[in-house]
Amino acid sequence: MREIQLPLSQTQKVRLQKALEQLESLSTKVNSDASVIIADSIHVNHEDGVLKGHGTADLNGEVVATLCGVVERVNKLVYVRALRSRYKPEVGDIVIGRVVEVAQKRWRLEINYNQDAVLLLSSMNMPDGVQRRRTAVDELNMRCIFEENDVVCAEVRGFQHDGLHLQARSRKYGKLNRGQLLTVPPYLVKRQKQHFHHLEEFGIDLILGCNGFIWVGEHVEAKDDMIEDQVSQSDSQVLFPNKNCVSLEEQEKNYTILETRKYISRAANAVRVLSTLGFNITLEIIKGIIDLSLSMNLDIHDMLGSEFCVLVAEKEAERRSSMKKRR
Amino acid sequence: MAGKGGSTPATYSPSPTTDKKKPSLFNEDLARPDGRSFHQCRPAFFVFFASVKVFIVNAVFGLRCCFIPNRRNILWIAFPHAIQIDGQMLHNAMILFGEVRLRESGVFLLDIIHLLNLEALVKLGMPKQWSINDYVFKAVSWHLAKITLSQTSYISVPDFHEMEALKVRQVQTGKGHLLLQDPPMGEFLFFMLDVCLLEKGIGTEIPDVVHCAVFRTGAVNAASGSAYAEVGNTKVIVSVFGPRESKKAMMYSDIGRLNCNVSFTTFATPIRGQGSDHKEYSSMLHKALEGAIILETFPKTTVDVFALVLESSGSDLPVVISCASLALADAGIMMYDLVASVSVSCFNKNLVIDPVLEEENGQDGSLMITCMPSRYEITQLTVTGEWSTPKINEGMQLCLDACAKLAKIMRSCLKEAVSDSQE
Repeated sequence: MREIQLPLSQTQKVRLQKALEQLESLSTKVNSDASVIIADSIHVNHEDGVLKGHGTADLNGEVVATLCGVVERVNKLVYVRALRSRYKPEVGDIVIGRVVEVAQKRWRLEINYNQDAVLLLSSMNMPDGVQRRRTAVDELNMRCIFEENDVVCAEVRGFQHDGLHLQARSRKYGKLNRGQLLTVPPYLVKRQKQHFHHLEEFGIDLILGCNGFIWVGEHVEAKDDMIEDQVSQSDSQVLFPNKNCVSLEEQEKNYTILETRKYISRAANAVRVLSTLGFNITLEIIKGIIDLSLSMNLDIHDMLGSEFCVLVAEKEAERRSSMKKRR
Repeated sequence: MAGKGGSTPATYSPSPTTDKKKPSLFNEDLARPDGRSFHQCRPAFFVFFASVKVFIVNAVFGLRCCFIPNRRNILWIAFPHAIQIDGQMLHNAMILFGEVRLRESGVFLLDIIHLLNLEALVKLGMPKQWSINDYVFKAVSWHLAKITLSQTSYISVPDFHEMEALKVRQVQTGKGHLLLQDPPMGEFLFFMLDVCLLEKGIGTEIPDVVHCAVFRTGAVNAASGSAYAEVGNTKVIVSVFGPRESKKAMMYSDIGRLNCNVSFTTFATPIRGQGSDHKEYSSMLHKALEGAIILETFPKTTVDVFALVLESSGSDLPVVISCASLALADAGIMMYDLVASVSVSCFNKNLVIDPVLEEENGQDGSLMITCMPSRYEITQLTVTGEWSTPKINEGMQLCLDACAKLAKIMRSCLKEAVSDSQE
């Protein structure tokens, strides 16, 4: 994206330059001249008719850009795709957010969008897994499900009159524990078939939120946690905020073994490296980086050094060129 | 001032502002041959031959010098046009700049010093209405033959290949328009460009906006958009956050809110003060920007613009405004056009564009225009002090021209950032 800010030695600089150039030559984008900045006029063929899309405005019969970015054309539609902007949600996106407020029947989540997203209590699966009307008691106990500053994974449901709504109607959604949240520019995460990944060999979970929030955490089986909660809650009927009632066993249960924690950090650093280099973040590449660092016997903190970054860039260039050859 | 310097060489007054009498800033004699007035040819330069390593000394008293330490000859000396300089003063200055021996740079140096004397110039056959600048430019251009102006609109200076850190982009030969990335060297190169133009007979136009403007986006990583600007010695960082959800307490509105804040660092002014928020500038920044942003595109949300003045040396607000519009563009916020802003100070009958701090303190009146150049629309106009109608007209025209040029520099900065990130 921007100039990569790394303390590079001369040889490293040359190597990185070479790798990036190679990557550039591999990309098949043809509309390299389509970048515009604010108030540039966009060339259109008025005879065919024009639909002015996002990021464009009319000035004396000319179409001008109101954003910095790339001109995209779909049939008659002309719009400008901004390069640096906040996340723009689409229905069905898997996002990760942080609870900023617990309000009436809803949580407000910060998801790197213009506005806070809303997660209604009624669009959540209840911890007991039973489909029923949400009662006033449920509403009072909302803090037992998510508190402020909890990290939550959910799916974009759509836009209602009062903003962006999320839903979490499956076991895989919900609160995220024992891991790291990383924020990267949203355009680095492309929409894919699968955003939840379980890296069995390391015992970690990886969730690539479309909004540029990435979760790396200890692997949890999608079921057990929730059901246990429900049992203990329905038994006692008295619900404490979950922070204050951490018993010794629970603490033990919350303990993550060192090995896993190391893998979590390794995966997190892999994501950080990709984000500094401005490469798309996908499971294969992250796995590749983790393997590379393991095979080199690199310390976790060394993964953020410039040498490793250059190496990753070179590997990526190699990988893409070999992919191209195969095709 | 000039006479004083000549009579008392040993006690050169270190700062032009400390003079008891306000220096007469402009001499009516110094009208240029093409009829334009003096403000359009701001710095004067004296250039001497040199090569290899270049050091620049920023002196306290407004003179700036550039020399080669081991060979000890002066490359150039620049001074604000408010100071009038004669040979004696220059001599004193050079001594102050580090015991420069006159002998080494030889006759040439002495020639120039002679030329500085206005009477001498007239005697030599210079038309009286010529400014010193023009004459010196012409004189020096004979001596600098090695500089070439390449076709690719890059200046290449073979003798100064050590200066590769500085990149001069986009030189339009017609009007003399420069984009500079390194201000102190930029001033020097401005001069060089003029010399080249003279050499080639392309034109004798001296660039109208002679101060150097440097813009860069992406100064602050944490912000959604940011920009750094440097005009003259004024340095500013602006960061933009958002659009993000408005505070709950705020009323519902179907257009976005713009929240501006201008603050100064503790070391922004020569006298170390308390860095603080500037309420007046904040509201003026808000007024200047709100017309350019398409606020309807982000209802219920707020955009925060934080400007920090790192060094304040005149025309702070215009720089802040221009820089803020770049930062907004960098943050991907919809705008009708970039906003460029320029101010003009009025001294008696003269106008000074982009006044420096000393000039701002002594001005009779000021005029600031903030406009969207490609639409030819003005978002803000501020006039203070005493102005006559024709002067206002002249000032506005000057500002609008300068805005258009500034916008060009800003646009090329953005363009670069956009095409860089396309990869």
